[in-house]
Amino acid sequence: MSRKVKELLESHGIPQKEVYFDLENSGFVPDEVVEAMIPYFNKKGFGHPSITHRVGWEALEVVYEAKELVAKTLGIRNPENIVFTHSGTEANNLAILGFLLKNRDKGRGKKVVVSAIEHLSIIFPARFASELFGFKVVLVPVDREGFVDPEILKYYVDKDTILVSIQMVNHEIGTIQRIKDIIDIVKSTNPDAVFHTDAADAYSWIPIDVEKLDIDMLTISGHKIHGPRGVGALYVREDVELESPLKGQLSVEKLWPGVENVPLIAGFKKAVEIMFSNFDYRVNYVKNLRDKLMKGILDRVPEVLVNGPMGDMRVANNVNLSFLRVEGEALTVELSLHGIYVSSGSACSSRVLEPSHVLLAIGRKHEEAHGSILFKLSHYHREEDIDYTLDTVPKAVERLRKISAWR
Amino acid sequence: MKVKELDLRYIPASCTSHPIIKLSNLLPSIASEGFDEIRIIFREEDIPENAMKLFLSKYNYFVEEVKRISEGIILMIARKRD
Repeated sequence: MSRKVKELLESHGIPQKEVYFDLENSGFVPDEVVEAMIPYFNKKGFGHPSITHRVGWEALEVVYEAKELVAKTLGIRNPENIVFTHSGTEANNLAILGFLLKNRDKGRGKKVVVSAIEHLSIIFPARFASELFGFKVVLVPVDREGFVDPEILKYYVDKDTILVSIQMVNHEIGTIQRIKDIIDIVKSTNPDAVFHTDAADAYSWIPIDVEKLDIDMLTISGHKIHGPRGVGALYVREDVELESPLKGQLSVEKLWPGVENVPLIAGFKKAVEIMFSNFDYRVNYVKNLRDKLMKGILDRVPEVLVNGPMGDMRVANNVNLSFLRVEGEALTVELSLHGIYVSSGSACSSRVLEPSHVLLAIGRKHEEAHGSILFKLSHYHREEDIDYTLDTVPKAVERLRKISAWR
Repeated sequence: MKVKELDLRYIPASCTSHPIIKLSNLLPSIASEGFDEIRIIFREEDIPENAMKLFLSKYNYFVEEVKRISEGIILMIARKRD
């Protein structure tokens, strides 16, 4: 298997210029974050954080420091209400499955409400819980820009609703939900319903205060903020009870078994420090690059659709465009050959070329969804990266359209 | 009069074919193709009646008839208004 990939890499070669935009799926970890992790592999804190010796306490120290820092950035009063997992997906599974598992026989209700454009790590656990325990999962529609209408949501939430999960920012099209209005509707219709939000794509891009917003559970993810892969976290309000769907030896975390990955948590902590050190400046910088990229492509390439809203209700780092009469997967390969790394909207699961459920839910036709490309930006991008991309994308699209079967 | 019929009862609830995603996906095309009337059959447990009415109104289709054709199954007839 690896031989085929080696051959692929050899034939691809390494382009002279490279610009990495696929931060949605994973991204590079900056040197400062790597340096923060390294000591915890073999110099200090490499012990088990729940064992009572010096090296264990060194590990425990960094786990607690990371929780205190994350708590500060989210307005969380008690850092002990943060659970470290090994990804945002695990944190979402803990939230959804963990809550439904704990409350399955308590007569609190059977309905679970999620938006139609949630990440699959929300939709799949919810469906799994419905198959196992008889919960009813309902999907709330969104409009053409991906917004959940609180007035429509109102008809979905009732006394039978036990859990509502609506993401703060959509991972594909960048829609920033009117989360305060949404939570107000949920809590006024059923004060006992628990509200969870997947904030993996919102964290460090929009201000979040869990107390002011009245959020019961919230997910974040390390690799979305230039932290290492392999770490995620879930905030759980004091009075919300969960049962871990994962069983095994407990460590520091009472809700997620297994040894905490301390080097990765140290890296995550450093990534949080970097992202929050100059929040407004960084977000505005990236927003300007985003706008330049989006406008530049729309000006230079005909027959392009914007997926998601424009302006301030779109998260600063997201550009998602559908190039008509082009297959997205072909465009990702064509751009890769020129050193521009992006992902396409042809992936419900990466091995099955179904169109993205997010794009279908906002009304894109199948061929429009298949032709979509996602660029995720960060403060590590420069103007010259955008200029190079604006120079390369039109030529790539034109070449593919010439040989395309679509007319 | 151009009429579109949609039956959302039997769509398997896979990633991309949930009744809500199917409806959200088709409505913009239906509206832009100028259908005068939409007839939708759906399960109320998938889409509450009032939510469906409000969602259709966003595309300028207003419900004129609601029939319960069996337990939990609704037929809704909506007409376009300019």
